[in-house]
Amino acid sequence: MAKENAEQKGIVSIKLKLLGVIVPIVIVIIVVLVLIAYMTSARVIENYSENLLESSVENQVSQIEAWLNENIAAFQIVKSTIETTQPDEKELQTMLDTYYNYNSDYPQGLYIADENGKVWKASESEMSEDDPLNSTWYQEGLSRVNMAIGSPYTNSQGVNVISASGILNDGSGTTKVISADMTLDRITVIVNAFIEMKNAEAFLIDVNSGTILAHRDSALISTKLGAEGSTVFEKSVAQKIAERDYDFCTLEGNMTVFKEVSGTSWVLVSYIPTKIVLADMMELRTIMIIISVISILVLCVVIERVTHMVINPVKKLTKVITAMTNGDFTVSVTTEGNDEIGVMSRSVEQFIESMKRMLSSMGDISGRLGRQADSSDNVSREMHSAASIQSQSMSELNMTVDQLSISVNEIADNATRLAGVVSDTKDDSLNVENKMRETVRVSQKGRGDMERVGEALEDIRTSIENLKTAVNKVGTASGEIVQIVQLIGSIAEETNLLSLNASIEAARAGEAGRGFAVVASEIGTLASNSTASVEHISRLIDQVNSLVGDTVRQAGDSAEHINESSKLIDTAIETFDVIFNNIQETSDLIDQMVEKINQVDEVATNVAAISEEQAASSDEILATSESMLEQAKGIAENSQHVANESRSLTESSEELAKQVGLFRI
Amino acid sequence: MKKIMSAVLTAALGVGCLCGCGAGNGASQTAGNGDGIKIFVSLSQADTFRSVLIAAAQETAEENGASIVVYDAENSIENQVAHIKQAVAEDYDVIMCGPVDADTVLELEATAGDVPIIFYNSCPDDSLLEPDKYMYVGSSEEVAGQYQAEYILEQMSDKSEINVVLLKGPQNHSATRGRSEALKNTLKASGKTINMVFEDNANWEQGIAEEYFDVFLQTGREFDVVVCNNDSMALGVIDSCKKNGVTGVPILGIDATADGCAAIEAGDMAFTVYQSATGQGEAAVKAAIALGSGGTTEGMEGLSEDGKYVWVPFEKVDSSNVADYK
Repeated sequence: MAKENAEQKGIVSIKLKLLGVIVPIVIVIIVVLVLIAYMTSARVIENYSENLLESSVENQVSQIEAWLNENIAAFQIVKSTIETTQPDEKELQTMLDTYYNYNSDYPQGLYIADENGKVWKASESEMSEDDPLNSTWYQEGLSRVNMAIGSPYTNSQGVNVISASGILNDGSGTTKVISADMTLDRITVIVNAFIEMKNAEAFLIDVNSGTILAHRDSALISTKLGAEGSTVFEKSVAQKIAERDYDFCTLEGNMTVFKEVSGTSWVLVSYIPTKIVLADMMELRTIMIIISVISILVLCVVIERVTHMVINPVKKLTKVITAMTNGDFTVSVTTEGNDEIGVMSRSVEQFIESMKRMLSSMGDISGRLGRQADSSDNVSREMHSAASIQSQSMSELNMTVDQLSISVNEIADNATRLAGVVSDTKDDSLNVENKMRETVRVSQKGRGDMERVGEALEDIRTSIENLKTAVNKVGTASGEIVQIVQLIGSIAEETNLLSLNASIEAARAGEAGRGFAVVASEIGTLASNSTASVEHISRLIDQVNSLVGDTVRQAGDSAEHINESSKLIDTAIETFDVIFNNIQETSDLIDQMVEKINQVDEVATNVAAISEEQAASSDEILATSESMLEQAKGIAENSQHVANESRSLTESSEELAKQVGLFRI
Repeated sequence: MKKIMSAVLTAALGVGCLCGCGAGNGASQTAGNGDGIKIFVSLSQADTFRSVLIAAAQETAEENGASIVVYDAENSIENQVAHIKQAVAEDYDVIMCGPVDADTVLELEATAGDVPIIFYNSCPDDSLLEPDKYMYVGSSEEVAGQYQAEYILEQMSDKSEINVVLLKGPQNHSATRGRSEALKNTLKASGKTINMVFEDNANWEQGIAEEYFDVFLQTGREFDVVVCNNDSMALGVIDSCKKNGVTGVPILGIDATADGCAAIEAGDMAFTVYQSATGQGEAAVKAAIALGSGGTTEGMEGLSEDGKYVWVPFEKVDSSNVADYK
């Protein structure tokens, strides 16, 4: 219930909205209208006041002018009568007496003074002029023939007066001035009597002297305008007059009008405090404010009532709809009227009926739906657990296949390596075979060479034998040579003896023997040389003999050595043969081995190819099992989703059932 | 929308044309194009001054190609009103009117309806004038009085106190007021002590002026200068002086009439102010042509700030230049 209230507080009713729009507009319109009316009226009132004040002043001035002219005209008549009739003393006195108290404006009547100080006045007149020639009226009168108004002054009776005076041109040859006094009090009365505007004030100023001629405050009469102690307003007026600015203006809160009085140097100043003029406006404003407030209130009430009446059925309908919103379809609608709201009510009524039907069928449906959702939930749960197990198995399988794949790959690698090694071995064994053949060939050749060496050695032994024989022959020859040389030696010795004998014989023969002596000496020398050569040859032959002896010995030694070598070579040949046979056997063995290796190579190559194929297959198996694992996981997740969905379906159907349960039908 | 736009444009063009035309005519009043303008003149009463004024007006109108007719109201306000009605009936473009009585101007304006009026010779109340509709062409009375005062101050610059005799026109005449006030104000503004030893209305009349001056002389008061609102009264004063053997006092007049100028030449009168009847006639016709063609007097020589008056200047006349005004 509290929530309901809160909701109702939250909404803004149509009535409020309508009032919220219409009322401010109405208020604004009324306020604007009143403001326009007030401002227009205010302007009209102000203009009207100004015009009224101006026309009042104009009228006042013409009244004053008329009053003055009337009086002056009267004076002029008297004056011209005197001038034309030229009365004697008695007649003049009678005339002056006649005008005493003739008019209340100039109760003393007229009076005359001449240049000798003689004064004529009405018999009953109280005025007494001690020094008429220096009086204001006389002095002023001297400056004109036509009587005119002069400056204000205080006369001998102490009364503030103003005189109309002029030269009496009676042709007597004596200058005379005729004058009449009007009191300023009288003028004040006249001035103020003619004010047309209520609350307006007026005063009269003599511009020449700046004196106040007429003022309601009699204390100010005859004083200087704007003198010390006077008000700011009066000073402002004095300022304006001094400037001869006679336009309408507002001075110190007073609407002020100036007007010159023609035929005089007077200015009439009339003023009215602006606030008095505005007082009417204030009243107008108050009335208008009251009227506008009242009309606004009345309009507000009327608008509120009308809106209320129009809106009321909507409010009832709103209650029904609010109840419906809260699920209460037990409410009933009262249908009245045939306007839009009536149609609305009827429609709502029909709506409630159809809603009731719909809700009851919805209740059934939601029950069924709930049950179905429950069963599908169970199914999906089972499905999920199955899928999970499957997923796990697949995962294990996958691991196994993975390991298998790794092993197969290793085997394939090893087989390939083995094939490589076998292939290398085969190549090596082929090389060995070739080398072996080469060795066989070389050893065969070696054996041949060895045999030829044996032969050569035999030749050498033979040669040595021959050499030994030759050397032995040399020994024999050298023995014979030694015998020859010994012979030669003996010859040389005999020659030498002969040469000596020849030389002795030559020496004895003297000169004739000299040539012979030389030959004998040469033969001695030859004999000595021959002896020496024989000795040398003997030595050489000795040496040759010893050499031959050595050679024979050495040849004997060599032959021995060669024989030994020959024996050794024969042994070597035998060894060669053994080696050869061995190599031959080895070569055969190698041939067999190469054959075996070829077979191994073939097998290893086949194994490598097969194990590579196996590795590829196991990779495929791995990939397949991985995707199977993914799928298994997917199935598990999906079955989880299905489980969630079916759970939320269950919840939804439960919620639906609850919601439907909320409706009261 | 298009229609409104075109209407606005047409209006704008129209205004432009009007402005152009107005400007053209405004210029024309100095350029002298008054072709076909019909001017109706109502004269209060023929006198020397007015006759000269009308003659100058006729000449100016002729020069500018405007037609002009002149009617003499013979000092009757009824005649004058009848004249104005006639001018309206006969479709005159503009009226020039020398009012018989300045107080009847409102009636004259009402009668004229839409036809503009140029007043001359006698000035209506300021409130009855309107720029480019009801205008006054004339000379400012104040200037005449001011010129007299300036002459006095010039001649008597060494005096600190001046005794003045003033003879004025009729009491309520605008010329009397304007001339006298300006004289007094100008004199007072100099700071000297000004004593008005005699001041009376001699109503423009030579005889009255003579009589009043006789009376004044009888009082024996001292005076330094005699100022008159017009030449006739000045001549009256001269007569009085001659009769009473008074000499050496400067006598001032206004108007520069033939007699006045003669008096200056003779040395009896010191100073007068020439009011140019010719100038007023010319200026009145020029203003009439401007208004008659629907234009404006804007830019015209002598136009006052408020646009209601066209002032024709006065000229000072003394013995030095009097020969020019005979």
